[in-house]
Amino acid sequence: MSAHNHEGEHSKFLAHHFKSMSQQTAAGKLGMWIFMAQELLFFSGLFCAYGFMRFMYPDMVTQGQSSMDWRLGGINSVILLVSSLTMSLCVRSARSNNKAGTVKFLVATMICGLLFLVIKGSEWGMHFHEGYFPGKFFNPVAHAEIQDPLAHIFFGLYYVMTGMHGLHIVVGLGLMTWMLVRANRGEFSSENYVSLENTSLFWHLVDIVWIFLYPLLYLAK
Amino acid sequence: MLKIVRNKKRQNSSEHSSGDQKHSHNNEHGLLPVRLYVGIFIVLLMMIFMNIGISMLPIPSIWIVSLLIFVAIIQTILVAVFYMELIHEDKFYSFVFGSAVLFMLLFFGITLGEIRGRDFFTATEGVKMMRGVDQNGNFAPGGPKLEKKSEGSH
Repeated sequence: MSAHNHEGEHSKFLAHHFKSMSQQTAAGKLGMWIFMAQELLFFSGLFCAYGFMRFMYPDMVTQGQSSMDWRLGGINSVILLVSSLTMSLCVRSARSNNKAGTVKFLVATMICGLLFLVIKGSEWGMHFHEGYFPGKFFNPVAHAEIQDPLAHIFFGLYYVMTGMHGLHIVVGLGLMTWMLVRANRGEFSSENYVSLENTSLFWHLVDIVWIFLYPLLYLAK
Repeated sequence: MLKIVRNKKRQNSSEHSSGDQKHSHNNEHGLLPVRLYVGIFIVLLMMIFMNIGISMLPIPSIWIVSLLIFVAIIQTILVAVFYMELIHEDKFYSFVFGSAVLFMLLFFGITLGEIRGRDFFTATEGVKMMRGVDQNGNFAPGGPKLEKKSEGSH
């Protein structure tokens, strides 16, 4: 691998308050990991609420889960997994000074993210069609499978958990759009890749959250 | 080879402090092979199907949930170690993330342990908990108005 590192020279990507690119990269990564620790604690509150609900209303949760389509959830799991792979390959391409590869894998990851949102949106649409709205708006139609009024608790939490996850996907897509613009400008290289890697870390965290959401919401009957 | 060594020497001499050298060592790790990324992807994919299979097993619900969470934890470790590249990153990042996991487990342990404690007090001390009432939907915040609720309010 050719050494493409100009630590001694002042890189145009080096912020004035850092001594070197490596120091800037280390600071950026540390900040991102601290942010992700916070994200983990944020989602842990929602997972704890799920555990609480499952303990308090086991029958209602089982009933609520019967409306979940594990096939659609499974497809979404595979899509997110593919997106994690393409995102990792994207960072690898950037670090190998492969601009075409970086752009290609970034676009592939964005397509996966969009597909995920479309499937998740259609799932929500199906639930709304049955009248499974959250909280006080819960009003199942006559032919709906779930008529237990307590099921509003399950659907309330389901919408919050998947909604917050979906919001993170949207934020991730926004970050990737920005990264795509920068990648097209040829800003990423083996020397300057920390913002792309931080975006990748964020995306993997979103994948990790779904790794737990899928079995708990769709499979744990 | 000589060129590489010379480049490295030049690179080191341009560092301003020993702290920077440490940062440089931590961040300029090698690239993982593409084959490894694909291999991890295949293992993770198989684990998704494994989870689907576990959910269909004729075993008690608590075992199904435990197994599902166990597989999910292994998936998480694989993603963190290989896709998030903790395998060759500064160990301090693992410490930061690991400490969040530790506090998450404490949070789960204390909160969910408290619910079990409620059942204990209900059984042994005769303390009436909201849970029994809640099953009727009376105290569910923002819940649909049940007949019992309207009776209770008068």
